[in-house]
Amino acid sequence: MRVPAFLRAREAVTIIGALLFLLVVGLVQSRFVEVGNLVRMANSAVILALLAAGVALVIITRNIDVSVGSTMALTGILGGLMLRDGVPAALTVLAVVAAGAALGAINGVGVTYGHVPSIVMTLGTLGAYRGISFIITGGHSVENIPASYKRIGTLEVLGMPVLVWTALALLVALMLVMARTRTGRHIYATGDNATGAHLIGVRTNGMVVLAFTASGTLAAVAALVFLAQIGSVSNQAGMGIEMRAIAAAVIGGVALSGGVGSILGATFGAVFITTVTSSLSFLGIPGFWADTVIGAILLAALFADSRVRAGLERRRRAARYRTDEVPGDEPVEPPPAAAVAESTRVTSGGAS
Amino acid sequence: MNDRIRVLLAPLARWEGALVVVLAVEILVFGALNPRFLDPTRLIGSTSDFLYLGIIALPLAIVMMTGGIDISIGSIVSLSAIVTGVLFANGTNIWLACVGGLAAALLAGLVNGGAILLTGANPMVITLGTQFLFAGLAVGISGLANVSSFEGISGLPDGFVEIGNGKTFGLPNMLLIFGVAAVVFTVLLHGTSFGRQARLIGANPRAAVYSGFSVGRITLTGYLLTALGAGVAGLLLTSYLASARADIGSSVLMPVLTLVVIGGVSMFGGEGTIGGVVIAAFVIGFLQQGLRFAGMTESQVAVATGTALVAVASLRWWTSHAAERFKNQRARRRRALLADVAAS
Repeated sequence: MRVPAFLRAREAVTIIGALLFLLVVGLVQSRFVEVGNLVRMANSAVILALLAAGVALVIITRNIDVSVGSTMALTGILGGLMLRDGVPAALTVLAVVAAGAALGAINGVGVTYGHVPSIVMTLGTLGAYRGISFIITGGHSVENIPASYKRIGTLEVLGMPVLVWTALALLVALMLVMARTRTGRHIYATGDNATGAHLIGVRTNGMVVLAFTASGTLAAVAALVFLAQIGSVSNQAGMGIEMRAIAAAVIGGVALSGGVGSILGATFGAVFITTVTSSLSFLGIPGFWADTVIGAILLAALFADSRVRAGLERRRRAARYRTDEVPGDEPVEPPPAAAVAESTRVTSGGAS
Repeated sequence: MNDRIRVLLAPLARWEGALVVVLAVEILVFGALNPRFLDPTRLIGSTSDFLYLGIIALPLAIVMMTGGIDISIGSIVSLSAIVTGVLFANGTNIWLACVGGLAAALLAGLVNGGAILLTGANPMVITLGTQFLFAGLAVGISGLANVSSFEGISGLPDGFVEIGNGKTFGLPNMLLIFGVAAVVFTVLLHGTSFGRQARLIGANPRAAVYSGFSVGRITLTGYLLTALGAGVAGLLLTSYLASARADIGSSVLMPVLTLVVIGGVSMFGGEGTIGGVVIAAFVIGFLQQGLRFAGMTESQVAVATGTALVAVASLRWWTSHAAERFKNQRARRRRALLADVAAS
C-alpha cells in the first residue's frame, strides 16, 4: 500500500483541506466559489501569505519571528509618509524594502552574534518597532496617500489584481530558491542540525541573518501591499498578525523544531486561514468566532499530524523488524553467487 | 583580602544579585531625576500597575523550567475576566461569578496541558492554537451576551472593585497578593519534590522519564497553575479597571514573557529561580514607572523596554561567556605555576 509521493508531503493535508473546505462551503453557498469572490479572497490573503512566508523561513532555521507585524507597521508608516510628501513611488518602494531588510537584519544579528534567544529578540523588537512607529507619527494615522499609488491596489491583469500576481511571483521565486539552490539547502541544514551544518562548512550564522532579513523584507513588501489596498496606515496596522502568520506557517506544515516545511505550505496555510475567516459570513456565523475557528483548526491539524506521525513510526518500525528476519531465512537454500549479489543490491537499494 | 572581596562579591555574580543592583541603581537614578519618584506611598502604590503581570509570571516560570511555554496566558486572562463579567451581568453573585471565571481558566489550563501530553507536539504550537481558541471564545462569549466590545461590563460591586484598588495594613492588596504568591511558589519550586522534578524535566527530559515519577502529572500541574495564575490576574485586572472586557488580556503576553526571561529563567528549561522573577517584576515595573515619571511618552517607554530586554538577554550570555573565559585563564595560569614549582 504505497502512498503517492505528493500525498506524503506535509503540505498535502493543508492543500487538500483548503480545497475540500472551498468545496463544502461552495456546496452550501454557491456565491462563495464565484470567481469574483475567489479573487477577493486571494486579494485579502496576500498580506498574510507574504508574512507567513517570511516567518516560515525563520522557523525553518529553528528560530521564531514575532516582530513581523510591527515591522510591517513601521515600514508601512515610513512608506506612507514618503508617498504623502511626494517622493516618487519607485524610490519609496526601494526605501521601504531596504528598511524592512535592515529591521529584519537587526533581529538576525541579535540572535546570532548577540546570542539572544530568537523569541526574546523579536519580542523586544516587536515592542520597540511598534513604539518607534508611534513616535514617528505621534499616534496619528498616515492618510492622503496619492491616488496614483492607491490605483495599483485596484489594477487588474487577466482578471486578478496585479498585487496578487506580484506576490505570487515573489513567493514562487522564494520557493525555487528554497528548493533548488545551495542557499536554500543551507537554510534547511541550519535548522535541521546547526552544529552539523556548521561542521560541513555552512555559514549557519549567515543563514540565520539571511532568513531574518528575508522575513523583514517580506514584511516590508506586505506593508507596500497594505498601503496600496487600504490607502492609509495607522500605528495599529498589523497588530497581532504575527501570531496569525506563525499559525499559517504551522498549519502549512512548517515544524517549529526547524529544518522542515516549505514556502508553498506556508502560503497555503495563509490562504486556508483567510478562506476560513471569510467563509464565516457566508455560513451565517458571526465574525467574532473567527479566532475560535482558527484555533480549533490549528489544534485539529496538530492532533492529526501527531496521529499520522505515530502511525508512520509504527509502520516504519514494523517494516524494520520484517527486513531483519530476511537474513535468517537465506541459509536454508544457498543461492548461486550471482543471485546473492543481485539480492544484496536490491535490499541495500530498498533500505536507502 | 582578596578572598574577602570575593566572598562579598559572590552573590553579585549570580543573576539575582545583578538584578538587585540594577533595581537599586534604577531607583536611585530615577530618584535623582525626579525626587517625587522616591515618595514611599507613591512608589508602593504604583506597584498595582504592574504586579498582576508577576502573578502570571511566577507559575509560567515553572512551566518554562520544565522546558515548556504558554503563549495562551493573555487569552486566559481575557477568558476568566469575561466569564466572570457575563455571569455577573446575568445575575450571579459576584463571588460565585469569580469562581466561574477561575473554573474557566483551569479548564483552559487542562486543555493546554492535555493537548500537549496527548500530541507530544511543541508546547509553543499547541498554546499558539489555544491562544486563538481562548481569545476567540472570550470574544464569542461577550458577543453572545451582547457586551459592547469597547466598554465591557461595568457596574461591578464596590466590594469586588476594592480588591484591586484597596489597601490592607497600609499596603496595596495587589502587592500583598503578589507577596503571598511569591512565597507559595518559592516553597513549591525550591522546597518540594514537585519543584525539583519540574526542574529535572527541563534539564534532562530523558533522565526525568527514567527516574520514575510521572512526568505527565508534573507537566499538567504546571500548565494548570499557569492558567490559574492567569485567571487570578484576569480577576484582579477586571477589579482594578472596574470593567470586564473580552480583550483585557490582549497585551499581557509580551510583558509577562519579558519578566520571566529577565528573571533569569532559561527558555530551554532547567534553569532559573522564583526569586529572580520576583525581582525582575519590580525591576521592569519600576523601570517603566520611572521612565514615565522622567517625562517619556508611552511609546518611548515601549522602545526603551524592548531595547533593555534585548540588551539584558545579550549581556547575560556575554557576561557568562567572559566569566567562563576568565576562570579558564586563571586555571591555566595556576597550572603553569604549579608546573614551574614542580620543575624547580
